[in-house]
Amino acid sequence: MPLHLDRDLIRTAQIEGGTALECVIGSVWAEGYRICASILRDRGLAEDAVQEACVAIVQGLPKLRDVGTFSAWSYKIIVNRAITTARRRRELQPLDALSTREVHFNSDDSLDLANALSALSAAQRGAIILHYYAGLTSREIAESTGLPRSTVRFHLMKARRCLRAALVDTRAHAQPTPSRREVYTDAN
Amino acid sequence: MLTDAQLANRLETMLAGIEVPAPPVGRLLAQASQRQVRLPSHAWTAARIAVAAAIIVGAVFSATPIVAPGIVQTVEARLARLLQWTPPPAAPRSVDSAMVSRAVSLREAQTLVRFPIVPPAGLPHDAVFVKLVATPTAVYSKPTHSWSIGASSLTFWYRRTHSREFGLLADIFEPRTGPPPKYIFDADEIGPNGLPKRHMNFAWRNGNQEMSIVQDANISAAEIEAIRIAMHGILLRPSATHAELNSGSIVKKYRVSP
Repeated sequence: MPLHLDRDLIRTAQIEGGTALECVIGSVWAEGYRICASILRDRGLAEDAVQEACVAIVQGLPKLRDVGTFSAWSYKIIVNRAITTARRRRELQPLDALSTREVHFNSDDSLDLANALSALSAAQRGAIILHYYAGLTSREIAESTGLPRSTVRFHLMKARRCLRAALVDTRAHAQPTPSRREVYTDAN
Repeated sequence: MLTDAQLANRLETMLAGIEVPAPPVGRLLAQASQRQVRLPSHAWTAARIAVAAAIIVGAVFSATPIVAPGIVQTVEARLARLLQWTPPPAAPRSVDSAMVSRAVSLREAQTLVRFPIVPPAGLPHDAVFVKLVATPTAVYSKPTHSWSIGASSLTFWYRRTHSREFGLLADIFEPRTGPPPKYIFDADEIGPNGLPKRHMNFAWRNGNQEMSIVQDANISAAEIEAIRIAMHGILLRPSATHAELNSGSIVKKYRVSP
């Protein structure tokens, strides 16, 4: 799980707040922003979602009994906020160009994956990220999203299938293959 | 065939490549310490009391008020004494329970109201339309001393950056209510004097439509004025005297919640 924080740091943040809490927020913010951006594909909305998630995490931190579950707990909050924001966005009508603040990816591979992800529903994207990135099991994802476990497994299976198909397609397009004409020419 | 491990690896690479803005740590901590129950984006759901020329343009109660209704009534009574305003008696439960909000399309909204709807224009650049909500109003008649269910009012809800949101209330222009209130009092923000914080209320007319909005942290007075100008709305002069505050033969009560 990429969000690895020292248990002592989390305990100090719980009890004392201060610099320890600021360190925790800094880590959660970076991780949360990336996740929200990949789910929402909009920098402004990602910032809103991660802000709400961070506030919820700071407010809930003192009540967290087992600091060992901090990462999974944080991921659940982050992904839930992103999914909620995505649902809200579905009802929104963009009024100006500011609503199209697309997230930029630094490589073609990443862009392919992001495009493949964008073909999925927000819940499927959330499930994929929680499973493959945060390392949560389908049971944990079901608990965090409130969906039945069978639905989560179905989302994961469908999302996996779509992603594989999309990524194989893009890979096939990316590699130069001989055209039919060339094949005939060779055959002749 | 892409394996699970490859998929996880590509996902991690993709996420690592996303540029992250600096965390607004101070703002996050401030927001977290403000209220434990609600997120700041729902500031508008706070119970608001407007004191007006015999209008409760604003006995604007949210569906789930943060402040208990009893406290709201106490605050309302104190304000009424202070502003020499005579509030109507409490609406019966049957009237209150009929004020149920629901999201509607613009076309459907037009069938619910008796005025041509003029949608908001000239909104702040970061405002994104969320939904249009229709809610029946409650009307108190001073001559007959009775409450009744009135036609629906409409609220255009917008969302902004930094979890802000605001609503523009549209209702039929009703001269019998007297001038619109100058201030809306927010029962959720009690000041050191024990009275709610007041916010400027702006109202304008477009034909038979009266639109009103409160200036607060979600939207500034300049932004509201830009909306009015873009809509070519005629500014309605707010009530200025105690007499005006009590003028009007009817009182309207609205329920506004996102």
